[in-house]
Amino acid sequence: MLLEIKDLCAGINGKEILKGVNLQINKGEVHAIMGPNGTGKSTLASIIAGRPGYDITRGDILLNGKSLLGMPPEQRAQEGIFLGFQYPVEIPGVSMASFLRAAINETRRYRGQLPLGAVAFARQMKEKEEMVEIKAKMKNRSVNEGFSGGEKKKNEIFQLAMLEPKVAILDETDSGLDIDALRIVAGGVNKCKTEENATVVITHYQRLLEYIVPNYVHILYGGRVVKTGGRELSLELEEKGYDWIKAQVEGEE
Amino acid sequence: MSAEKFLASLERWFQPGSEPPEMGALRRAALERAHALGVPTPKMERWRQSGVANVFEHNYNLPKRDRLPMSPGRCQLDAMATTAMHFSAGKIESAQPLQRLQDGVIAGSLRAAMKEEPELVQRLLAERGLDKMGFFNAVNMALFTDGFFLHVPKNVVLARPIQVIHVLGEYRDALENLRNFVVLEEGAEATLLFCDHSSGREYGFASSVNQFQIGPGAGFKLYRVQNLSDEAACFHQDFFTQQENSRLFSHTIGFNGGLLRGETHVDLQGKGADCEFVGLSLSSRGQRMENFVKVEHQVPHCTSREVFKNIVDDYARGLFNGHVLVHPDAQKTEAYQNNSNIVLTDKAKMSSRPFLEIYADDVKCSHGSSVGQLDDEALFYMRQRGISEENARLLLLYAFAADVINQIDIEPLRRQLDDMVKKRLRGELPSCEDCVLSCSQPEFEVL
Repeated sequence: MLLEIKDLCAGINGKEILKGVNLQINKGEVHAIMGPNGTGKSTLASIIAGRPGYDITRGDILLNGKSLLGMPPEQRAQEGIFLGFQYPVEIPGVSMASFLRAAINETRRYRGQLPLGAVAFARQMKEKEEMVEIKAKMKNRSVNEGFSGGEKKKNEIFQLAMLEPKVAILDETDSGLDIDALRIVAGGVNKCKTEENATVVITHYQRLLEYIVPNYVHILYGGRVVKTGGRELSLELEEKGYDWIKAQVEGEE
Repeated sequence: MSAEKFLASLERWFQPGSEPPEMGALRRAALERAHALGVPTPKMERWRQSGVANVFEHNYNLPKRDRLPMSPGRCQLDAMATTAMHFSAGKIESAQPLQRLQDGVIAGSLRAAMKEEPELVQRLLAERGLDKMGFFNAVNMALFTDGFFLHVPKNVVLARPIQVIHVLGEYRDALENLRNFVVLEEGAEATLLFCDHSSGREYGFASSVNQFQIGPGAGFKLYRVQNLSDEAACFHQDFFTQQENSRLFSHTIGFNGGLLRGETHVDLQGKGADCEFVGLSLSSRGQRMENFVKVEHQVPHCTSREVFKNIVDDYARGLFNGHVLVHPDAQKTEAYQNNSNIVLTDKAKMSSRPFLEIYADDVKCSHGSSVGQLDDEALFYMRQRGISEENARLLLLYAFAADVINQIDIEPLRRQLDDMVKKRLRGELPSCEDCVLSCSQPEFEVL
């Protein structure tokens, strides 16, 4: 198993948000996590990536059998976790090229590889630009600075292509995209898919899943995965909304 | 020592020597002025939050010729083809202290200029009335031993930047007063680089007063690099007067120093004058770095811009005190003032006091100030991509500093300072002895 989340309970400022999340993700799979607002989808993504500020009260997150919980965010990234941000951060003054080169070379060093020289790095940039059909026109620009919403999301996918993680978690990557941008972003994600990695897509809407077809759909509600199904589950949600899930869960309790 | 002892010692230090009688009288009057003013205290508006009190805690020795601090070094900045002038222990180090450069340009020792061009120098010295002098300015006038003198005649463009290196002497409790004069006549252009260093680990206090007269249509650029030991105190006071359509660009980076205080006073006297001030102070440990800026718009159609940045680490303290004064006649003034600061620890402190005082009604003025930590969101974003926390912080700090460095238009100097800033942020540039400028290396040749 590539990524395993076991009975994860976590909260922030004393408020419990995740109340026993279980997920198993294998190589080559695409998982979608859906659910109404405020049920902990983004919290789950943040906790996997190691965002500071959360208290983990129970459970574990394992990548290839290794617990991530004691690791700082950079080490998790170097181990192969990528988080596509819902709101990518603008970093004035730090160029995309120096940012990505630092990221790649620190990861290579962690893995015992030699750093990528300037020429090899430029070549890789070009290759990946062609692969995901997203131009890193922003190479010499500051990270995300002055980018439109769509450009920021495309830039996330370009970084995904450059960093080649084992697990890509895309947090509402579809929010704020028009249909053309959505197609480009989804196409880029699909091109990054291999038999060796996995993709986790967090979304509200079925729309994205028409382009990134999931093997499994999980519904997160009230801090737990309350239902898991195939692609058809997302279609059902699209048709019926979340109320029947809420009714079902509350009926059980 | 105390403030009283410092004042009492002024008499002992005062040795006008063999100067012309007018000079002696001027020095004596300045001494009286210093006594009348008394030492500044943090209770005074201009000195609020300042670390000035420490300066009066020492029993000073004036520089002596027979105790040369070091053999002057050749500066590696020669790649930028500067003409270098080297001052140590309060005196110029040169067999030929006053140079006649191209097209009637005179450059070198003020002391020598007082002998060779007495009328010109006397006029300059007396120009700023004693009644306007602050305490350290008056003390400097009474005690200065030498300084840099530059006169650029009408419409002459100085071919090479001049680098003025001042190294605070390597003797205990040094007190060195230098007075620098720069006169650019109408249409003249010049670039100066002031490097302030200290050679030892002993406490010392360097005080310089710098008068810059920028004539009509003249263009002046001043770069200043300060890298002294944590024991050293270094004050500089810049007084600029600008005539019509003149341009001024002043750029200062404080790398290290126990107490660095820069005062800038600008008098925009001629229509269409333009000035810009850029400053970066990088303080850590117990260092204190202070900037005081006062821009006076006297006449219409002048522009001024100030950007000062501080990174304050450990238990260091930063201070920015900026004052733009727009007089009633100064319509169509444009004045911008910005001070942004990053404070890295709970014990580090930054005081920022931007201030606009406007008596004209048709002006564009703005001021801004920010004191913050590094952006946590940006840090997490970078770490999520695999960049270590330490390197993410460095990248963010460097980004904060970079737009100051990128305004240096002498490419070899920009590269050199860029490298120094990176080293400083990594903690690899403790003070002068490790400074990449390496001006303490031997085989120095003046000019």
